[in-house]
Amino acid sequence: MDKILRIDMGAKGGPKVSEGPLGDYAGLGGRAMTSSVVSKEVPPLCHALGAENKLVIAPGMLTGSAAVISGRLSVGCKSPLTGTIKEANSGGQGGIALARHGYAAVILEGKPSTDDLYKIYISKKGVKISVDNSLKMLPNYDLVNKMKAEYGDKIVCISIGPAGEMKLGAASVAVTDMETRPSRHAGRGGVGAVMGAKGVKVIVIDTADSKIRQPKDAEKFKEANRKFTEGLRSHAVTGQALPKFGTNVLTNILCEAGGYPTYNFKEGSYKDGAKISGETFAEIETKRGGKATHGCHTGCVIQCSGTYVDKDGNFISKQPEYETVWAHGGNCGISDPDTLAKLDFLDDNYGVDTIEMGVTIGVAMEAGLLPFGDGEGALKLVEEVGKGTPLGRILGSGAEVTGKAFGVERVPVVKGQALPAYDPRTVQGIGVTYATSTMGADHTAGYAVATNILKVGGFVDPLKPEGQVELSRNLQIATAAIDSTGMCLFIAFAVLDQPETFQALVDMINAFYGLSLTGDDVTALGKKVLSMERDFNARAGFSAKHDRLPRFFSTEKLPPHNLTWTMKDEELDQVYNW
Amino acid sequence: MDAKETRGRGFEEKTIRISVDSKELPRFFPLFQEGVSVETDTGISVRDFLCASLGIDERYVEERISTIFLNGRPVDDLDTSIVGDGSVLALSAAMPGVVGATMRRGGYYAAMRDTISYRADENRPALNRGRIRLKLFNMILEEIGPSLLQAGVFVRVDSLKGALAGLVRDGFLEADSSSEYAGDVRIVVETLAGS
Ligand code: SF4
Repeated sequence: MDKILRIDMGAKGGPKVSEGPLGDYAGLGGRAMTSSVVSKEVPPLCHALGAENKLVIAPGMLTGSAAVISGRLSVGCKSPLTGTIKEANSGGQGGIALARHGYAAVILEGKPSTDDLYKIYISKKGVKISVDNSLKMLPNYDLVNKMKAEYGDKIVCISIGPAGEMKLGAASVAVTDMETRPSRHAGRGGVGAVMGAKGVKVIVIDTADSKIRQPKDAEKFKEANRKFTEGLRSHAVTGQALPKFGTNVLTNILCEAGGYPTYNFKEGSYKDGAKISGETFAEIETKRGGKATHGCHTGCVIQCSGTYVDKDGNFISKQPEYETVWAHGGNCGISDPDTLAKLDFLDDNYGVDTIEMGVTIGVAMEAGLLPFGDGEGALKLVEEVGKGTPLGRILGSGAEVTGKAFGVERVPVVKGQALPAYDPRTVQGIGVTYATSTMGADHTAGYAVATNILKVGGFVDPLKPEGQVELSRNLQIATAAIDSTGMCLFIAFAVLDQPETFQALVDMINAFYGLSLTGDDVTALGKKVLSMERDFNARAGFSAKHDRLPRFFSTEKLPPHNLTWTMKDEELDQVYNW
Repeated sequence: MDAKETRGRGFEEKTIRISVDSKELPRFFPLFQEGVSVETDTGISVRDFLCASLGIDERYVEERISTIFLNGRPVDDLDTSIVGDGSVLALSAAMPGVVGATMRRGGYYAAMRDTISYRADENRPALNRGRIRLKLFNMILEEIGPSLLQAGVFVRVDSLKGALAGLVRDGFLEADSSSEYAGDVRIVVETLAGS
């Protein structure tokens, strides 16, 4: 990973390709790379769909190496949904494929003057860009099949569906998985719309003759990788709960805790939660001959994903994640697993974020457009988005726009982005992260990483009142660091509980790059990333006043605990005081 | 597969005894996600309920059942949390995600869900006999569900019908439309020898 590929889509005479050394961006990966480029090169006040915005696609620091579970890909830009800086993270094979061709980042710049649609083909021989208007409005699955017919099976696609072409706020960037299905998505913040604005439908990466990245110290790297793998396999969450049941194992727990937003955040527990739990999905998958344990990219040793098939064994979708099952399921009162898997497929196919889409449909239900629980109606609405009908375009623009269009008061967004699957009235601590994240409401922004091991900002006593703020701050810092390595965030649980597993991760980075980083350096990296992002947002016009939850969380009590959001604004404003 | 009725001693409800091939046992697991009832001493601590009443190994409780809810409230202390007649107790292994970590018993992130945490009630439930509704999730379900089924649990008739419908559909059981049951029924599910 010693070069950056820049493609100026607005160059005179057609897109212009240039390759250059890393320069100031040396040593960066993933979110650290995307946020550095965006904060340095994108004018914060630009229009997110304009020529000045850039779409940065960056593998993590260890991506493409033999490090396990290190294949994550970051996609960054100024977000058309939130207006803030954005990093959306995806699994799939995209990061590995780019890294093994030596690219630390692919940056799409400018904007074509025509409405031609382009495809970019990257292979050992170089980069080829061509107009292909036959791809217009193709859903992701059809598109990938077409690319396979054209370029063969040894390809990875990074693409947009119709939603991205229409530049809708919920549009995602799809990345193909190990089976070359476009089932993994950099979902949040409308990154697909920015790719659409650049006129790029698909980046096809030919993996033939690409090489695995080699560490500086092979022996030490191998040993650290072994210890790290061992740590992941021996932990109850990463070695058992996630492989067996996927992230959707959380449904029963959140319903029990009364923190599962139901019927557009009106209630905190879904009566039919057990019907759509991870346990239930795993049982259906196993019985029907799907797969309950599967990786989203090569080298994943946790394998929280799976394959969901119908009763005749035909593929419906990948195993839907917890956030998807919640957004389309409990949040909309839909309890049929087959319908939820179909919604997951449609979202992937048309290229929309499953969280944004599910929350948007919940808002539409609140508006009376269809009743809560109407699974067929929900499927039809996502079809409207794919077709680009006027209603579909409103829905595809996300929950905030839909709420405005239909006059809904209870619209669960922060900085324009839909809230994920945890109600902040029940788990007040996560509300702090939703409110203050540089990305808009984002559950992955402050993950349960080893802050007590890292001792970010000193040891926190979580029982002090200010503990929630400190915890959220530390989680956000540690997450920013992990997002930069290319590691899947789900390593966090093993790293949280097992100091030796965290050490193995640091050792792996050190052995790979010939460095001698300590936990403190990892912390410093996380802080640096957050500071850059925060600075970009400030220059884009965001202030502490935007770090707030919607008012209804403070005024409406959430059953069964009947709690409201009680965190004080002054406390929220302390998150970035370090 | 074989099902017959007996009248269980000490219980008002009839007991339905079901023998199944061990690989069909998971068909009964959804009952635990919704909750089954067990008759027990009440007014005792969660620890006593799990270890003394249910006979679960103390080390397993300490190390494996790291997430516990009592009446929808995350439990941090096994000894000061008291079960009463009608209590709902949910058991889970360690869970992913920041929220999964916050729910963990006595975990580092417990403060993040401070407002819903279980706090010992001044009106401690009286020592008595009663029923507790028990929910089992994820690995805990697979690991202790079978022995509870064998010991016998009370289930809602409607829920049981759902589990049995699958067995009828797949030809393991003959359809029997006569339904004299309502409310709760006690079931004992044993695995067939050698299965
Ligand atoms: S744990 Fe899940 S999300 Fe993470 S890399 Fe593996 S399959 Fe993908």
